[in-house]
Amino acid sequence: MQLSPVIHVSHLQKRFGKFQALHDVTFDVQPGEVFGFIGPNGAGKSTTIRTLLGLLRASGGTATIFGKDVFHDAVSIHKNIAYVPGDVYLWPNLTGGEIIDLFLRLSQQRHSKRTDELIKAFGLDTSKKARTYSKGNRQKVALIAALSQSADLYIFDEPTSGLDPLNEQVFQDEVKALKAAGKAILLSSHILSEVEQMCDRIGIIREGQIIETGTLTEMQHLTRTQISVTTKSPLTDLTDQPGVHQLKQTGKTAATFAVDSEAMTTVTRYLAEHQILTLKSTPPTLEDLFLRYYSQQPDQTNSKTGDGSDA
Amino acid sequence: MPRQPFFQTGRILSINLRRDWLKLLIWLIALSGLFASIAAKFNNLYGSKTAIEKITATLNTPAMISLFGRLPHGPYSSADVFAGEMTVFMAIFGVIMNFSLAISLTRGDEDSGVTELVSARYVGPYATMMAAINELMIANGLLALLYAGGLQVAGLNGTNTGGNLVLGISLGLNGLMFGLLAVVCAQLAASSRAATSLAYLLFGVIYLARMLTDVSHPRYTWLSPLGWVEKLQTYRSNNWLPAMLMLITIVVLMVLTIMLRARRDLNAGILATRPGRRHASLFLRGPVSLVGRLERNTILAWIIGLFIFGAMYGSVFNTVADILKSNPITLKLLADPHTAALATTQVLKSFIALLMIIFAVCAIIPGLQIIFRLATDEQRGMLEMLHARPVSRFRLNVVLSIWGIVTSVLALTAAVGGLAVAANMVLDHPLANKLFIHGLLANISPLLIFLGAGALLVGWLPKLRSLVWLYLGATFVMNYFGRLFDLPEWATKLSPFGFIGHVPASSLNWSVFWWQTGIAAALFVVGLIGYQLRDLNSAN
Ligand SMILES: Nc1ncnc2c1ncn2[C@@H]1O[C@H](COP(=O)(O)OP(=O)(O)OP(=O)(O)O)[C@@H](O)[C@H]1O
Ligand SMILES: [Mg+2]
Repeated sequence: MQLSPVIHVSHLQKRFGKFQALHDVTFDVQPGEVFGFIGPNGAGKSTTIRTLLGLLRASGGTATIFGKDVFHDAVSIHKNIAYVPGDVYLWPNLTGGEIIDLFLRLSQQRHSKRTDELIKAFGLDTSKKARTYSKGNRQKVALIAALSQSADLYIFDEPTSGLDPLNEQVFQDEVKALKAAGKAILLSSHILSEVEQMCDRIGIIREGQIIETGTLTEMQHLTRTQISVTTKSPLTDLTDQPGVHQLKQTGKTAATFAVDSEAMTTVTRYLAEHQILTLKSTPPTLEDLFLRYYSQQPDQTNSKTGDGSDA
Repeated sequence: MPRQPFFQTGRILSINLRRDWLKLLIWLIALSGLFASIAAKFNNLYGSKTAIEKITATLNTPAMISLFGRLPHGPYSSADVFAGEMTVFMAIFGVIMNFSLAISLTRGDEDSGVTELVSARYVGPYATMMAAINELMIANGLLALLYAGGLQVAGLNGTNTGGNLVLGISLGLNGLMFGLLAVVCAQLAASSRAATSLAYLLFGVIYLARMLTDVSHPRYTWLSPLGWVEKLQTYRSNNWLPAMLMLITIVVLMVLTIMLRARRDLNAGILATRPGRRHASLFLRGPVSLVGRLERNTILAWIIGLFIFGAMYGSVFNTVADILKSNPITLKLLADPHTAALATTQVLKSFIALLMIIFAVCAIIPGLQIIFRLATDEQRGMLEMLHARPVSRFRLNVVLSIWGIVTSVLALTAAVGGLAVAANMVLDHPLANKLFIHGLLANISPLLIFLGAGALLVGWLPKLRSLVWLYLGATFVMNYFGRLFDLPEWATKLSPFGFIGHVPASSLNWSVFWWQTGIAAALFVVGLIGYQLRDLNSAN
């Protein structure tokens, strides 16, 4: 990945008066990559995205898109990006159709066949006034306008928070198509299955700080794998093995436990010595990772991953 | 849902009051303070017989009657002058207060979703609405007490307790009556902005009905609810009949509101929204046309409304000119037709100058509202989507500023145009168009300063933008009373309108025009800089 990144954020800070919303945000998004942005409520996801859009002025650090400064070159950057906010607010006395067309024209594009396909796929009645739209329908207006636009970067801030599962599926398919077409995508979401499925890399933000970035596999590596095993000979001294946690022995020869990634080799060797009958290893899901990061209190931050002291 | 329709009204009311107390306090202090402080000054201003004679002669001219309402027959005391000058005026301000409170309590809360949250609780179906009405009752009740109490304390020559009570209470009832009218409008219209427009439209009709009947056939002023406060015979027979009429109207409006509320859904008006076009017209393609599309109805309504407003005032110009015939001092001069025509023109010119400022204050409102979209649409979350597209802050700011300026200038022109056309239709000796054009030009530079002040605040301190409304309100008060008060020089200079003279009664001063336009331009530019530098907030 030595291409120049589409988004480059480095030590970004944002202060609202006395309140520091972003402390240190650093990440890159490469072309052809879906970057998942997750974190608890109020972590600073939307603030980061609004800074990237040039709506907010950073208090420190740098942020560029296409190599240009996000605040000063906002207009030229915006020509090539599409954005969908989590809460879409529209002018109440314009219809959905008018707003979609207006948005496309503002980006120097036009209502295309693709726009009609998307309107059909999302099942939006475009003749209704925005005043009468539900949250989900307002979101569809923004999604249709964004997805039918040809851009190099797509930014979605919880785009599916108001969509039903069917429409969510439509959205996921569209994002996969964009990715296949080599576009860069920044997706912030609370729907972890969505992120797990679609994102190549993930950034986890908490209290205005990126605490982890990497692929899902890399992250899984940072934490424990769940193992359940049955062996022929009794597992008497499993507790004494380094890197084994939450041990539950259901019999002399059966056990479930969590194991640190770095201890995997020694533990499996130990198990093999006891003649494995069945072995199931479950890598942590994003949800496990997530809960692990989220539930940490600030004073516990140095016990981030896999040091086993909090088992 | 609970059975009693108004269940929990009291609790909602107390929550609302906790939220609104500061706003209410500011209104109450501003209005009762204005009222009482003027009352306290009146013994000084109009204590002597000659002063009273002079002012009542002025107040009895048709021009002043059209603005302040009609005085009863003489002889007059200071208290009579006060009641004559202040009643209609305070009634108008009460209407403005009540419209603003009533609409934000009903439609405003509905638009922002507060009503939905509250209604989902264990509360009666009409509880939120009744809480809003109760709050209006409290506000107007307190205002009535403050008015009556203020008069009692001020101790004007010729007041009596009965008169203080009838005036204070009727002004309170008048406010409540119009507040309920606004609540009715809130049921009919589909948004708070539409409700406000509808309410002011109705008020415009009621105001003009009062003005026209006052000038020509005072008996028919009973037909305009705003005219009822004029029929109190304050400090004479202290007539309570108008108060009764208001009370009955209040009850009728209350029943009407409840009936209308029962027939509509939350967040929808009785006047249904129709489906619209599936595709945007070719015309809708950028910020300029977007603003045009969003504001076209409002802009048209203001232009037509102010044209009619101007025309109605123009239509009484012949009566205003007649003043010379009824005034014994000027009667002598009438022998010479040339002098008579000159004198008539002079009176009309002064009247035009006064009306012009009132028109200008009105014309500033729609322009300021358009410029304030930079803050209101930002708060409502629409600008986020716009600025995320390649629409620069510079462009949007300039586009809205220009739309605001054009709208205000057109609205003022429409008012002046209506005045000119109607006046020259009714006058035997038409006035030169130049008079109207100069009057218009003179008022444009202060108008621009107000819009520029709005742009400045929107750029740097959008939360404080209401200060411009306050400033505009203060300017309106100062100029509505105009020369009646002999305000000190420095006080008139607090407003940009204080520098332009009384065009067309005095001549148009181009240097004032240019330096004021220069200041306005500077305000716009500084505001633009602020808008380009600051954070753009979102709805959440
Ligand atoms: N304009 C503002 N003024 C002051 N504080 C703000 C402002 N905007 C955001 N914040 C604060 O910054 C923090 C980060 O907010 P942000 O909206 O970025 O969170 P988020 O990660 O998007 O959360 P969510 O998952 O709920 O959308 C919050 O504590 C929020 O209250
Ligand atoms: Mg957010």
